[in-house]
Amino acid sequence: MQEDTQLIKQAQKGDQLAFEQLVYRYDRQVLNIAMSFRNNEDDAQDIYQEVFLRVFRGLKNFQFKSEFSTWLFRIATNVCISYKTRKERNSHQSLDEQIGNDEDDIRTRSDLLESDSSVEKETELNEKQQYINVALEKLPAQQKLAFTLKYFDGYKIKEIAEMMHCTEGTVKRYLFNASGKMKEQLKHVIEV
Amino acid sequence: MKIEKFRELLELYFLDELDQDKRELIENKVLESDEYKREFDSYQKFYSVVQYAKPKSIDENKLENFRKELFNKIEVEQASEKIKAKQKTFWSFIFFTNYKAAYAMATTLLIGFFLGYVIFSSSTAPPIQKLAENEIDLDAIDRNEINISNIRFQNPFSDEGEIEIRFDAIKPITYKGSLNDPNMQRLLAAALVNSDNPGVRIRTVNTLALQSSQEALYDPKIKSALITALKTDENAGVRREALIALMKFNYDNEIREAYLYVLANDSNPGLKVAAINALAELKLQGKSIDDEIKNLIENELSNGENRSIRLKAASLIQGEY
Repeated sequence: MQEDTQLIKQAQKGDQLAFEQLVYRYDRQVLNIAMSFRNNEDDAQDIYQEVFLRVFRGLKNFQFKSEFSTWLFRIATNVCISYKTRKERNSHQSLDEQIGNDEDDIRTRSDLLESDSSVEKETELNEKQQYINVALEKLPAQQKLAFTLKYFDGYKIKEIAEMMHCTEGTVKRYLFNASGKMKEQLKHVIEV
Repeated sequence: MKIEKFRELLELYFLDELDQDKRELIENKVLESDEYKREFDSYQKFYSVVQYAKPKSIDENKLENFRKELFNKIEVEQASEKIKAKQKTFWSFIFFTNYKAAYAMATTLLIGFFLGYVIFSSSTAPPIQKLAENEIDLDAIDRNEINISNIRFQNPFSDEGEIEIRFDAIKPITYKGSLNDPNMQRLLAAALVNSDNPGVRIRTVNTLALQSSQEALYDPKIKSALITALKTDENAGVRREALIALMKFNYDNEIREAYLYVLANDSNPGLKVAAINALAELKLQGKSIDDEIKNLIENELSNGENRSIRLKAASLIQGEY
């Protein structure tokens, strides 16, 4: 199997096949990161496309100062964070916005967090997933990303620090703050 | 140890970020104190609840579609960049090359002609302009309907004060017809085999694939062009699309040979996986897979470097025996 360095050099010279091989080598991990972060296939696809388009455009200027994977995952985390910010700005969704379009099923995100009776029809598993997703969505982008990379994707704190371009201490702070807020919001779920 | 510090370590304990000594320290603290035990239990519950929200992994087929879309986008972007670069080169050539002096002289001459026209009020246009208009629609160049390239200065300093340039003016031709039209079949086959642009080649294969329900697809010329693309096209996206289109043909010896070729020679792991998928599809349709193909698949299983290929090969072989 060709080394990353060799493939990158070929891709920098315009070899499309070499670029495709790099995509094949790493895109599953990028997609998993995006999927864990957004928990939505359409959003994950958007992030996936944006990450690799940025990689394609930026590859000409890649100077091998870091591992290709580090550079790639850093782009992926940047795209995730900006994607969440952009989505929030575009949708202006408040916590009390209604979930679902069914007129008979008028619920709010606050209701989901506070009322057990409103989600009687849901299975227990879906219920928990919804509570957790709502709580996750309320976290600031960096905290949410550190949380999903650690809890769902299983990366080490050191790896997350490299991806997010910050210190391990900062990642730990993101994780403590995120889990503190999550515990508070999921108190009634945890205690059941 | 203060409870705040204990909480921090507890989180790292569950996230598997502590060394053995600190893990033992936590476990001992839990045994020693009820308060610490409650914290431990609370965190354990939180950790297990959070795992419910872990999203499912996206399956391989969807990922393959994402890749296809990505490679198409990149090809479109490359094509538009090439056009921009060509335009830039053209204008740089006109304005910033060693022909600056010639251009300045030509401009001076043109100004001279213009002044002559104004002073003597001649009703006839300059002959050089007439010639150009007869041969080519200059407005069409502005509208990007005609692509100018390969400009050569034939006679930049003639005695008469004229300059002569020669260039290629490529004008797009539109041809409309169904896939049953023999001319259309010839054009598509030629586009698939000869076009330099991988985007065009992919779109050609896609067009053929979209028309799968029509009889035209089973035309041997189209099948032959698809097999040629599968075996020889330098772009993996084109090869993959050709393979998918070929799956809609009746399985015969030529297609079998093409799959064998991909399994034995293609350097792209995605293509090998797609070929194994195609064989699995045939198996589902009740068609048997001969020994030569089995041997190649077993070879991939035992010697292949790519994990996805080995997994696919293993699942196909498992179903076979």
